[in-house]
Amino acid sequence: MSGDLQKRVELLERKLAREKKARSLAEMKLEDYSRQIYLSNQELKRSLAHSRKKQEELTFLSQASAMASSELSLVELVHDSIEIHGNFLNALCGVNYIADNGILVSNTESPIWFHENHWLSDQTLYQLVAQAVPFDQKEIQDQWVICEANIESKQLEKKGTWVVSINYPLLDKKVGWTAYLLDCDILDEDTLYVLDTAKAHIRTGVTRRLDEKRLRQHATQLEHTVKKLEKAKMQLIHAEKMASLGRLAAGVAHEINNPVGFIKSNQGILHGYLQEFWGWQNELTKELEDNGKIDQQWFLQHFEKHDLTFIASDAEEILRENREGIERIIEIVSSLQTFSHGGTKEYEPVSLVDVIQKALKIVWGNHKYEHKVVFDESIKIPLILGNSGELQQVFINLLVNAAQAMLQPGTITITFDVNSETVTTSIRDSGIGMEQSTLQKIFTPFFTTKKVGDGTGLGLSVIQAIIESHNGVVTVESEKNVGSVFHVTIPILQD
Amino acid sequence: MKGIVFVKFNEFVEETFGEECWEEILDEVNPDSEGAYISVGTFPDEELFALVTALINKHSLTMAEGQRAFGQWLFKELLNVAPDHARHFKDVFTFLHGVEDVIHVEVKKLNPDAILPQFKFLEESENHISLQYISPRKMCFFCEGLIQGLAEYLAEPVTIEQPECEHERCERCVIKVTKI
Repeated sequence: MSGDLQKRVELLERKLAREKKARSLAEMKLEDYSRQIYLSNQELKRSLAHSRKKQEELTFLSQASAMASSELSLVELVHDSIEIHGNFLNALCGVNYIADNGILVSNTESPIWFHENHWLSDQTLYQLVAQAVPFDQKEIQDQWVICEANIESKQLEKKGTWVVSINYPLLDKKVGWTAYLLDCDILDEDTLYVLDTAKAHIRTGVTRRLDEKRLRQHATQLEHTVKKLEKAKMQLIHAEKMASLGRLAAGVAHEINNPVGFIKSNQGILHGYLQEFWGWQNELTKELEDNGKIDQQWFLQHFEKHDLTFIASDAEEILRENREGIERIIEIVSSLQTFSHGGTKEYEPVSLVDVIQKALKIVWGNHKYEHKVVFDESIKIPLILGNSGELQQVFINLLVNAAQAMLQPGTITITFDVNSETVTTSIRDSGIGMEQSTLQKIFTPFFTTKKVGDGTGLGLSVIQAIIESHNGVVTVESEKNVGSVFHVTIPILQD
Repeated sequence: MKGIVFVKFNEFVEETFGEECWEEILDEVNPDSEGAYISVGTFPDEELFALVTALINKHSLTMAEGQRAFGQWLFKELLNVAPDHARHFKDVFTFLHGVEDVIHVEVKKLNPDAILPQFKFLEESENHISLQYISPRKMCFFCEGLIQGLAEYLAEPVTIEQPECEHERCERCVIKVTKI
């Protein structure tokens, strides 16, 4: 072998030795990598399982939270809650119970939740699971109750080893319980922690629904009370009206008696006139029978003898007077009719001038000889939408009050102030006025300064109620020894 | 330093100066690794420097010439092992800009602990680019060689110079590449 070849062989041998070493190094490296990859894979699998579990927990919690804030009814909430808890826990079954004062009261035929959201009745299983639920714990539990179990049933694929349960408050001190039967060996602490978080969501949901239910009950009660109050108010207004009618009766009777009196006396006079007429007619008939004719002078002499010229003109005057008297009676009776008409709530276009005229007719019999009324009956003001009977009641009360406030003969002034939206009727008296302390209380029911029997103390509060129901307001100004003025403001009827 | 550099240096020496030359260098340096380099291993930086020093001494080259020659030869070798998407670039300047975002990302995937140089672009025009080379290894000449290899691969003639170099007692290394 030549020297060069020998050198070449040695070089290649060294190279081969290096390559072998390098290969062995590479293999070791490869093994090392494989080991690392295996470990990384294991770690990755663990992480994946962990993240899947966390994902499931998060999904479960977000479902629980969404459910609690949803519009589901209480029954639907409990139903859906059992489904998501059952699925999350991978439970064999889930049962809902209701306990009253520590005793199970729900129907044993209530459906039980099974895998894949099947709901079936199973009385035996219902009672078996119930044995692991502490119904005697009447308080709302801080934590889930965990109870070891050994439950087998033909409905179950496996034997149930644990029952976890939690309760929630219901109406009338009843308590709801949901219980889940599990088949695992040990309960995972993380799962219990998540269950505890979800518990708060579900309880909030239940509480919110119960509050809503209570609120609805209260609202119904309140509506009922409002209706009763409304009815009572109507009755009160009517009673007050009748009471004031009673107090006005004497004046009204006087107003009616007066025309009746003069109509009666006029009737007597008219009767006398008729007698005179018949007497004249008899004489006329006799003269015709005796003489066959009537002399003009004889006629005039007898006509004058019976005073028939005067009788003819006076009879006409008397008839006119009677007609007026009858009109007055009709007006008063008609005013009384609108006033005393029962409390119907029908609103129609009303003229306040007409209302006040009618009120004056009823009231004024009592006071017309003592006081003066300043009221321009011809004034034109816009109509309002209202109930004439009620409004008449308002003004009768205000006019009576005004008259009674004037111990000396005085003046009641009725004026109107109109703007684009309202008309304000002001009734001013020149009476004794009121102290500030009285003014503050006059609209309070049963407050009165009058003697017992003279007033109910409801007049002004009824006025206020009537005016408020007409969307109006009533205010008062008063000065001691000068007088008071009541302002009644009501919206005008818009076209 | 990553084993691939040693493996490639071995190939470079054998291809350029012959197998005997590599044997002689190994005999001279007598490295702890006994020259059994594998691309996926990691070997001391000093071994490479000792091998390079032995080579340049043997062939009367400067350190700069040795590093440049190795870098220039190495470029196409490295490109062969780069993934497809890392090979799509159209000119030298674009490649230089993409080094940190594309090439170094690929290197880190295989070698998360690799120490890689950073480039700080100082100025650029249509025909020239100036970048600062930042690396604790201070292998700016090797970097010059790589750029030269890149330009050859793209058939885009360039001149490469270092107006500032830490080996010339400057504070930094600035590499200026000018298109011819």
